[in-house]
Amino acid sequence: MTANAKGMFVDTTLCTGCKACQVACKQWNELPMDDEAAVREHRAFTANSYDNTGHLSATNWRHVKFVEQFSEDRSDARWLMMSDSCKHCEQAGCLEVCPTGALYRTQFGSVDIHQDVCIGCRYCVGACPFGVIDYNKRTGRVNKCILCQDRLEEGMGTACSKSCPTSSLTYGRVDDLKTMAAARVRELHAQGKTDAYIYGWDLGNRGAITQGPNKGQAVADMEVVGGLNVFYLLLDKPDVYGLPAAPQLPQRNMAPSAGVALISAAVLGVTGLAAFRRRRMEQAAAQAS
Amino acid sequence: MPFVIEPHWANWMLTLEMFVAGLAAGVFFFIALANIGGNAEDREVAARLGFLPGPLMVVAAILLTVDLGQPFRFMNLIFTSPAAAERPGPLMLNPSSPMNWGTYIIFIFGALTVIPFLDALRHTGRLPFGAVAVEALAHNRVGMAVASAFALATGAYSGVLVNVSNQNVWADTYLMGGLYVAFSALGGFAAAGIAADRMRARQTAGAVRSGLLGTAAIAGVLVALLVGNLVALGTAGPLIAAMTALVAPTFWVGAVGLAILFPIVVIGSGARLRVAQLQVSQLAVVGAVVLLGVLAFRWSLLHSALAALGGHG
Repeated sequence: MTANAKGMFVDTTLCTGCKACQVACKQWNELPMDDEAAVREHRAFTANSYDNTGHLSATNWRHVKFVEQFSEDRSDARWLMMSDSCKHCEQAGCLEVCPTGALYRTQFGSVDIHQDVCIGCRYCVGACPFGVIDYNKRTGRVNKCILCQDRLEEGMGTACSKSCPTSSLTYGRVDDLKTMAAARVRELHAQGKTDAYIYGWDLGNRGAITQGPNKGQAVADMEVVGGLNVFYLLLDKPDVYGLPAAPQLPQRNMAPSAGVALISAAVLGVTGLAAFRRRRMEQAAAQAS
Repeated sequence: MPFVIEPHWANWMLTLEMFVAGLAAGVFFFIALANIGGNAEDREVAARLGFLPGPLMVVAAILLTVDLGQPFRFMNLIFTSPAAAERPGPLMLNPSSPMNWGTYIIFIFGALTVIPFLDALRHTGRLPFGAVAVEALAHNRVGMAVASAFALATGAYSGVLVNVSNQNVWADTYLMGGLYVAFSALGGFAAAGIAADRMRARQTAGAVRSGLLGTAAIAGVLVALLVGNLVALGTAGPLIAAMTALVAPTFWVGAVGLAILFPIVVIGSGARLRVAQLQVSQLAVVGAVVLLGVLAFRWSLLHSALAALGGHG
């Protein structure tokens, strides 16, 4: 981990879905609407609870997810909300595959993009296990949350965390945030909310889901892709929040795939040469007879 | 649930680029084989085919560059941009990025395609200078073996590239590099079959038939392994049944039927095919059908991941 890495702790139990973070992100980073005409003409309605953008994109670097869970007879319900963004992974798939050095690790441990280096090859889009980074058709480059690099350089926190009215988003040193997260999980467990666990780092918490369709299932802290500098306190399985249960680096396939290609190429070469040799032997046999 | 979002590539352009570059690699592979293990007639056919790889690679490079969001920055793939200060040295090399390796491989292979092109010019009496040097280069067995390694690496590159991702289907197997290189070789033998037929090179046609049979069998084994692999993982849906971008029909009818089964059945059974009015006989018909199948393979595999997405994660 980058020494003194900065990041965010996202406590989903405190999120009220107000979307102040989305607005702050849009405003600070001067991100345009995806489709202004759709908003004017009332076509932008996602019909998915209060979700207004649907997913992260090149112009939506933060997205508040709404998960509504009802019991079969609809007598019991719970509403899960989560403010999502780039996780600034310790082992970042996007950064690993970038062929131009446009994606880079900052002095804060976050993953930023040199916009003047990006060639718009979009390889990083398919490599991110979280579906975070997106291609911007207007600029021909990729965009995602950059952890407010410009603000961090001035000693300010991230715009989203500054605007969060419930402290669901907390910016700080990742080590401090992990201590804070561990204490928060312990506090929730003491209150009987044994659902709480950390997605991003393994801080040793174990529990069981107390509500919703997955009630009774075990949950435990998860360290994924070497750790996430933006990590989450969740109350249900990761896929309920649209997070992968076992995100992986694309590089896991590199050596085996190259190996299979090498063996295949060798077999093809031998087969090809054998075709000429066989023909030569047939000719020789024909001449001899 | 898909967690990866659609990269918005111009898919027809990428399909065409992969087909064209793969064909260039396959044809070069055949030229190398003919020069290493063939006779005078094989080298005659190889020399005629020498006109193909160079121009095909130029087309592939243009398609690749045009598909970039910032085409005029394509040199950032080779030379480190001054703005990417974190990267050491003047040459851009991210060892964990197959695209970076592929750029160098394609660059070197593209340069090597000049040799058969010049040899083809020499063969047709259109090379005004350096004929002796070109002949020595083009017929040097060790040199051609090394060059064919770059051709096969070019053929495999796109497969390894799609393997090293988090896209559905592509990343669910280790076989993509092997499949791509096998279909490149199939394309090369198919093109050689057409050339041998048109040049009435009967001896070469015999070797091409054997080569096509063997290569189709290898591709068949790899496709069977791919389908088995995906079925075991429960992710074969797009290839088996997806109608999005006609993925399943192009895969089964095109890649499996035309590129693999057709040459095995026709050549294996010795069936006589002849398009009489065009004076085209069995091998040329098989070659043309296989090329169509190789194109279908590129299309179906490229679109399989996108068919599996079904929306944003």
